[in-house]
Amino acid sequence: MRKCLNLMLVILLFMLSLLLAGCQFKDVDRRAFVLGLAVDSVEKKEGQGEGGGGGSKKHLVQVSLKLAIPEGDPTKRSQEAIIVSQISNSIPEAVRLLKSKVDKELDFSHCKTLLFGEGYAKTDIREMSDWIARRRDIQLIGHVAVARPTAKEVLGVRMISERVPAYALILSLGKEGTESPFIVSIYSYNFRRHLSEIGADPILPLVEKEEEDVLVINKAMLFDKQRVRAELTANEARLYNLLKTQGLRTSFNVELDDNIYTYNMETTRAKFKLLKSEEGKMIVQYKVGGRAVLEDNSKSVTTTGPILEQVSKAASKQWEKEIKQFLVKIHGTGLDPLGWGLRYRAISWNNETEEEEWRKLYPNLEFSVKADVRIQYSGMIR
Amino acid sequence: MVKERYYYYLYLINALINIINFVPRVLTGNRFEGALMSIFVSVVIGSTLLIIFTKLISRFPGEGLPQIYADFPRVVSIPLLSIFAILWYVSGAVTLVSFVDITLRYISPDLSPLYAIIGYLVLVTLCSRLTTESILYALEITIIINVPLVTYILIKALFNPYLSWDAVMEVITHLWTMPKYSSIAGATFIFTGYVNLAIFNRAFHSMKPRHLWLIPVSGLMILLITFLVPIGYHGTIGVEHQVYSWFSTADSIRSEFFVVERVLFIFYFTYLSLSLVTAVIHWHIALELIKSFFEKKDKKKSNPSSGSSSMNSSSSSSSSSNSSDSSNSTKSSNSSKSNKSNKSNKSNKSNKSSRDRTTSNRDWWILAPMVLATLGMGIFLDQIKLELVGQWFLYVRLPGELLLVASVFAAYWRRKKRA
Repeated sequence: MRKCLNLMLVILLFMLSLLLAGCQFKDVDRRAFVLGLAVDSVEKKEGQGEGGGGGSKKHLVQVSLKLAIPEGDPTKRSQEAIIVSQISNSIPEAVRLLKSKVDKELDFSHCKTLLFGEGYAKTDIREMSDWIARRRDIQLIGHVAVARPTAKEVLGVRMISERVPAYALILSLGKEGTESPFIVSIYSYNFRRHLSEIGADPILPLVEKEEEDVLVINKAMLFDKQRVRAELTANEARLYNLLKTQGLRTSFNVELDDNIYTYNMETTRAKFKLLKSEEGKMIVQYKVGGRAVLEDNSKSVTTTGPILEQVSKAASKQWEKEIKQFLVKIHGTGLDPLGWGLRYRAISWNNETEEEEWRKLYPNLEFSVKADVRIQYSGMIR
Repeated sequence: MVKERYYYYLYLINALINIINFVPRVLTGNRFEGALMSIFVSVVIGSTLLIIFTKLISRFPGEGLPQIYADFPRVVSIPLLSIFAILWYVSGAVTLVSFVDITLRYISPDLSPLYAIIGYLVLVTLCSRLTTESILYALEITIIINVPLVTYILIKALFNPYLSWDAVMEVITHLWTMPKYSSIAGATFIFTGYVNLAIFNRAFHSMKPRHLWLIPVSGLMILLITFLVPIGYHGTIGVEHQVYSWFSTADSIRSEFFVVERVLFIFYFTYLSLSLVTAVIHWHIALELIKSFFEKKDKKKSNPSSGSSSMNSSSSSSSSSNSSDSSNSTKSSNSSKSNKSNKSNKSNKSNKSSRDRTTSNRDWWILAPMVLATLGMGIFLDQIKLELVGQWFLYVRLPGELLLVASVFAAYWRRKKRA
């Protein structure tokens, strides 16, 4: 009796394992995986969405999807991707309309790149940011970026090094492949946090199409709670990364006695404090530093201890100057991508008035930067 | 009879499952209105209640709540037991229904909620009829499998460079605010595991757990993590936009080198097993409490002279699951039932088999309304109403807990006076 029961249990367990191999009612070959999503705003009237009501002409979006068609061997570069796009008056509506342009069910669960066209980012991004957070199948660890000239064109670029469609964007935006110091990598939950937070503003990387099959990501866009307000150059984007992350891998150069020394950072650190000055102004004090190794010098001077010391000092001075310029520029835009306001809220214990106080303090913020770059090695040669 | 470590499992599973039972919701809702203070207050309240109840129930070795209440007149004990049965039932049902909601939201939105609920209910009802010991063994296995995964996810969450400690600090600066009852009621939930002793005490031969200080310490840690980590991920304002803040947090964690990149799925399956086991535990207690109403009648009719009341009840529950082979339903009936009861079953088969069948049927008659009510909850509660029900359960639970401790104390006092 007992044996019989055990046997039945074992059989039942094996039967249950049959249920494990499921693709939720739809097999892989009936799904089209969305690898990238791009949203542009459309100004022209002619390309009206068929499903979009004619009433609201001012707000039209073009949604483009990069679809991968599952097939054979992923190591070969034979993977084809198609791009479909649709104009409508809202993103979900456009996606619904797109469903009738493809023969397969759209699957967003692998959609890791979310691009805003530059034009769209300059009008209003709230709809898109709401949509990507609300949809359960779009991951919160997707990468968000602004695309220039349009998101659709950037999505359409197929880089030569790319094996799987849209993988190049994922690799570079997530810094999984390249570790470029110019790429400001932002996850979608992080973007959304900054959109809602009081005392911090979002920043997104800017992806530019340079040639037919080349993408450049080295700039960044600063947002207020609604749209793009300012753009950071490549160098500023790197400084942003330097201030925001620990252990940034990058190199800088410094001029000393007509000789240009380039040094590579092995470790970096950055933190800031808010200090009250005597006149009641708020000082944002950054302390940055790191250990570096000399990478080259243009006149091939033999480096001795004192020279390394001098170069370190000059480098620190240059950092102080550049970072201060950068901070002043950010302050000039009236935005807060580095979260100073949030820090003020975090250290202030009188919670009722802190936001009001910060609003008064912000216009008169002062900045001070203390840099401590130590170039400790001269590389393989002296 | 089981070792005392199972006591900690009972505590731990309740502490872990708080995410499903809307504790983060209550706390984040009050994050600027004294949630942090209420965490500290509730650690004191929760562990005091826990220690008092544990000490009290250790005076009733091997007895469940119905036996402890045996000294009370039936006018008192029956309403008390029904109140607690309802509370335990609702607790299990809220866990189940909110997990169905999570399943639909994150895993398979195409599925009808009815199917998901029925799937879970089949499992929970079948398992809640097992013997108390078997459930404890299952609990141990679930905990041992899942706690390392939960720990991994937590470590991953805490060491993420994108976790905003400024946002966490901002909420910490709201410490000196008067706590509200709602957040205290929510935060004490994680200590509630001890109330399960009301029935599970039958399985313990002695109840003197060592290292009790671990409970307030770990409870505080769990509460702080529950409350603060989602704030670090979604911001002081954004955290309120999340419906299930911990599931969104799990979705925000990226694991490059472990099983799947989206930690959400690991998290989902961990909490799936944890919440099903919690539902089994709570419904088992509800079932046993309601069954005790009828056992008294049986006792009077058949007038058994041998065996203590606790032995009687445990053998009746195990034999009831034994007889379920003959009834159409349970293939998964427990394999861990004792041989002894099997033998005794054979020896006096003639006079017992009819009674077994009636007790087995009775189990199903008790479970049927529970199942139906849960189905109803699953169908009629939308997101907002479910949240309300979940939060109201938390508010009602705390007085219920106080009532339980007080009544057990009264029973103890009565017995001592009589002795």
